[in-house]
Amino acid sequence: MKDNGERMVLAGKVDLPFSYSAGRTASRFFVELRDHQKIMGKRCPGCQRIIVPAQLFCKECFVETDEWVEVGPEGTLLTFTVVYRKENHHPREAPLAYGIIRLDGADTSIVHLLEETDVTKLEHGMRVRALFSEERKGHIMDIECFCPV
Amino acid sequence: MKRNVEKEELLRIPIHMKLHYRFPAGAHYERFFRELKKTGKIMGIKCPECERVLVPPRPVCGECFTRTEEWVQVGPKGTVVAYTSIYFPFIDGATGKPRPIPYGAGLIQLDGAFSAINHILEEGDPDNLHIGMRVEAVLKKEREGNIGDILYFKTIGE
Repeated sequence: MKDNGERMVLAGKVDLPFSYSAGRTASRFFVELRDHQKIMGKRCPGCQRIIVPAQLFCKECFVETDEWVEVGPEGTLLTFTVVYRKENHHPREAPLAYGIIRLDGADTSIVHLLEETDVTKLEHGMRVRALFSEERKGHIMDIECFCPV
Repeated sequence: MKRNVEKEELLRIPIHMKLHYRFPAGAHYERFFRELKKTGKIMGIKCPECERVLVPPRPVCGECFTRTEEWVQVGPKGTVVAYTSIYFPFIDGATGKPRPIPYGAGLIQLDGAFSAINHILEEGDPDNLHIGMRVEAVLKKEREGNIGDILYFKTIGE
């Protein structure tokens, strides 16, 4: 509490450590990232879309996906935003950039960090490539970020 | 597709969500917390129209849409109007650690107040909890001016 006779501002904190079972499909997705630096999707036998990250079910057709397919590691930047405000729930110091990336071969897109944070150098449709972390733990941050190609 | 369960590695993904935020208390909460910190008094505010005493204090009565004006002290004793016993060690969002179980939580109508506040009860055993039981606020020695200054409500034999 700030108490210098001025208006009171209360500090709040939500501190929640937890974990979740990834399940068999997401587990394999993360294991492939960690052990083989491969980004995997799954094909829906109904609509034939390749869903990335791999999902057990196609939410459009409501059927179980069957075939595993490697996608990327290059892709196209569909949209992006640059964050200038420092907030500690972000994985990096500001300025940082988030993008929605359609990996080559995929029919859905993923959200991830972009290496380029200069808004004048980012553009819709630019080509990017996944940079894998050196130390991989079976986590989406095993991809460090996407770099311009 | 046939699964080779023995070969599958199933992962647990750890996540530590830490969200820090700040919010301006506003004039009424500010006075409520300053009073609690300085004197240990729990304050409510009275609606001039329906005469209900609102705790925590609010600038406008939600029923009458009238500006509240008269500050009144309430509690520190009160009556439990609803309760529950908690056996699951939830993570306390304020500390990141579970509170020791079992513990009680209840809605407490402080003496002199119309509205009830939500807080921790010292008593956690459902056999010893009942609606209408009398409780009293236990305050921190070194108060900081937030709702945590009320540690919990203890049972009193009234």
